[in-house]
Amino acid sequence: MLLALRFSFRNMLHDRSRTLLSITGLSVVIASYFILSALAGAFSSYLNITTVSRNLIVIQNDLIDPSDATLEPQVIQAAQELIPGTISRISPIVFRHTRVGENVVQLRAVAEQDWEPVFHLVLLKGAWPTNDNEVVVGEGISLANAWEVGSVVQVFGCNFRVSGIFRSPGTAFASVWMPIHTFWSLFDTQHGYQAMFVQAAVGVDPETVRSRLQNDPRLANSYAVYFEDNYTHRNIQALKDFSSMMTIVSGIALLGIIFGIFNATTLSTIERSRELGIMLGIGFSHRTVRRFILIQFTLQGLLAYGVGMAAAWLYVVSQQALAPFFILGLPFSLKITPGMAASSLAWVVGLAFLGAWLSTRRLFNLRVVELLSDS
Amino acid sequence: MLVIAQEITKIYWRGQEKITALRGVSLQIAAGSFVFIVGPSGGGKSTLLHLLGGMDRPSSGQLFINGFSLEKASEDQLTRFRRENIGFVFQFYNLLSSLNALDNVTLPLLARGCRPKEARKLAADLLDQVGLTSRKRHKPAELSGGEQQRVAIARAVVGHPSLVIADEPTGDLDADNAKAVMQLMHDLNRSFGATFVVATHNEALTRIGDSVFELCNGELRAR
Repeated sequence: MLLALRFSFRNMLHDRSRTLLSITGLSVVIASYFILSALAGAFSSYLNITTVSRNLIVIQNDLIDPSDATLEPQVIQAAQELIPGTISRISPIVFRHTRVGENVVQLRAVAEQDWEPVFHLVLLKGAWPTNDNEVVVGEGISLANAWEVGSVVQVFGCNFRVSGIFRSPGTAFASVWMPIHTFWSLFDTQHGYQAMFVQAAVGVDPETVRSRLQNDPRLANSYAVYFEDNYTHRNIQALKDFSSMMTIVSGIALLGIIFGIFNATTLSTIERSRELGIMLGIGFSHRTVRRFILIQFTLQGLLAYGVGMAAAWLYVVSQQALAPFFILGLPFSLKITPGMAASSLAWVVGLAFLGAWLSTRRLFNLRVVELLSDS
Repeated sequence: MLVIAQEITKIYWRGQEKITALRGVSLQIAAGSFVFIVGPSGGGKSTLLHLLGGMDRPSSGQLFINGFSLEKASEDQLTRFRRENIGFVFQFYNLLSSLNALDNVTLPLLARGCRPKEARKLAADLLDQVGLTSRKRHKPAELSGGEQQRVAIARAVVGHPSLVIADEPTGDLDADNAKAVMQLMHDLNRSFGATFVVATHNEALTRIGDSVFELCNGELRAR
């Protein structure tokens, strides 16, 4: 083994420009893999939404943009009739997609008493709005825009003071919340609502609530009743598909190692066929000579892994420090985890070995004289 | 007898073309002798040396080296045979370019499983013996043709093989170097007792040989 390692290092140093080129090429592939994996991982945690499954959403059917929805009073009436036995609470809501600061955000308004029990908003800083000119902003969008408690933001041409910053565990989108009366006067929507959150009473199966509401003639055909988490997940399915695609692409990038090592090994064995013939002639067995080659190119894969991981890590760290990503106003944190590093190390070693092994199969079929006369 | 060859034939196929490189060659070489094989290019000298060195198998006939039958040996058996019995010297030296002179000479010993430290000592002693004391750490590209061939000869004899095969060892050297290299091999033949079989174009060098064979069109005859 020591002899093989010594040979490998000697050969790599002897062909240092070729070795450097191979390692650089492979490390680009490995760095791409790490960055794509980090992106996929970030998406995965971004989409890891925990919602309260007792919440249901009632919204108009067949809308391309939910912002166009309207909620008719008889629908609210149908839900109210189930209080208190079947439904513990209802919360009609209005929302708009609008530009606030540099981001398009979802502006939401509901009765203030529902913010915590129904929507699970957690106040991180400041206080809930007490005046008509106050709003609270989500943690992500405040980070993205460097908003603090006391900052002034412009919504639909009017200035609002940020009274607090909240975390919304059940909501993946960046949002700005305001009291319902503030919303109505800002947009002049005449006390209308767009959707309704319904909380199933304790001890009642939420599916029973969904079924009763869905079958109510006042909702039938015009409204759909979803579980909140299903609805949210339906909305983020595109992001999930994107995340899966990145995982697949990162896997394909890693497979590139086989081809890179196969190519480098094949070129090297063709160029060094006379030297390999000499080693066989001197008395090294085919198996031993092949082992030398396998070790050399697996080592190259390992070195490329080190360089690629270091490059990816530097990129992630500098990117996070200099220009952090925000998607839909939420911070998007790239991380190269120890688990990712360990599993990719195993893959790189395995794939590099496989590439070199496939390339050196022909060695077993060649006689010494064929190798000596190859050059 | 160290080498006994009986009616050896070697046939190659180049596509559809059949090439008979050796035609019924019979040969006996005594242990410790210094034998030359002469003849024109393409006459079959290299083919015969490859067979004698266990790098190839005859198409027909029988070949015994040191009592070992080569024609039916497996690849692993041939490898072991070469490792324990054969030393090679080629026309173009064929040193490993990534290793220095000392490491090139240690190779056959390492292939035999010799400990690296011991192998390096034996190789260094032999390089001293062939006059390369100050050139041990030089890589092949930093050595002259004559020096490279001396390294190759040291590599061939370092494991004390019973048979050393040299294929045109002076073919790429000037007259003075050619003479010096041939003399070196002859000296090693006498001091180590190994049998040398040397193929050459240069008839003038064959004077120091114990016997000379001529190989022409695949047919061998003694001179």
